[in-house]
Amino acid sequence: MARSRMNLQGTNDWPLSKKMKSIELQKFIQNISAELYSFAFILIPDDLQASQLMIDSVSVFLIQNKPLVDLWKKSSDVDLVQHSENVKRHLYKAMYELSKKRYNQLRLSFKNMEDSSGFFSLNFDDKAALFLQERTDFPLELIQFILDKTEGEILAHLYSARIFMVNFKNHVSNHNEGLGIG
Amino acid sequence: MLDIPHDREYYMQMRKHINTCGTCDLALKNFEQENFKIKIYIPKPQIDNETKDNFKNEVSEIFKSLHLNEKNLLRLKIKKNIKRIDSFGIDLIEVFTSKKMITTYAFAGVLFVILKRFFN
Repeated sequence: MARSRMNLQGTNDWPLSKKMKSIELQKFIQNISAELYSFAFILIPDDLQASQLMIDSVSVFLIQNKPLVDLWKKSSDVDLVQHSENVKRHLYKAMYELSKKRYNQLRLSFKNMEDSSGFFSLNFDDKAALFLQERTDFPLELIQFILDKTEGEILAHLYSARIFMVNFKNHVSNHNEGLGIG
Repeated sequence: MLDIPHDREYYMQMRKHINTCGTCDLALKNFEQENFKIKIYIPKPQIDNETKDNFKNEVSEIFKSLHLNEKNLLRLKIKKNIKRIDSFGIDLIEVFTSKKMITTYAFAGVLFVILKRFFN
């Protein structure tokens, strides 16, 4: 086979004309580590905690969705892209749910970061919604699914995050002007 | 307006209003401009190679422990079957060397000697 199984780089590179095996699912999850890490770090801004969050999300996903995983293994070729998208969205969801529980327990450890940065001082849900909207290509429906909120709630989070960020940007600009920078 | 999908009914209604209202149009344009500038303040953290490798190893371990790794499953199956065959072998030896069988061998031996003498 010309395209190696080891070279799966995301949804578009899924090999065609064969069923999704566990090894492919494993490789797919391993290959989206960069995307997962970005979201994990946004939710829990600590290097170690973010990587632990990724690992735990994979465990939770595989345990919670065992029947789904089995079904995907038996599925036809045509659905592979859709299945990989499903895997991704469930992983993001698991990550968000886990981090929500951990956030308050760990909050003190990254308080400094939250105080000194505009984005990280956003409300937890505002931050997650704004990141998903601006730094991923997820449609609104998918963001709704990941954050388990209605469209109205997501739009409210996005609006409040945007207002906060605009105020923050203006504050930084005024501060820099006061100091004679840029 | 920035985040509402364009196919929504309420987006169309708002757009209709904005197209006819100069104040709202100007306010929206300003907000859009401001929002364009905030993008630089939204980070996209990058994973380092060590974390990436660590994650790969952990995922592989999770798959193994949840019996989802096909190679591992095959290995386990082979081991199980070898054990089964092995246990059959042990059972067979145990049966052949049991007291009952030894008595049977002895009886057969005696019978063989008697029969041999009788026919000779």
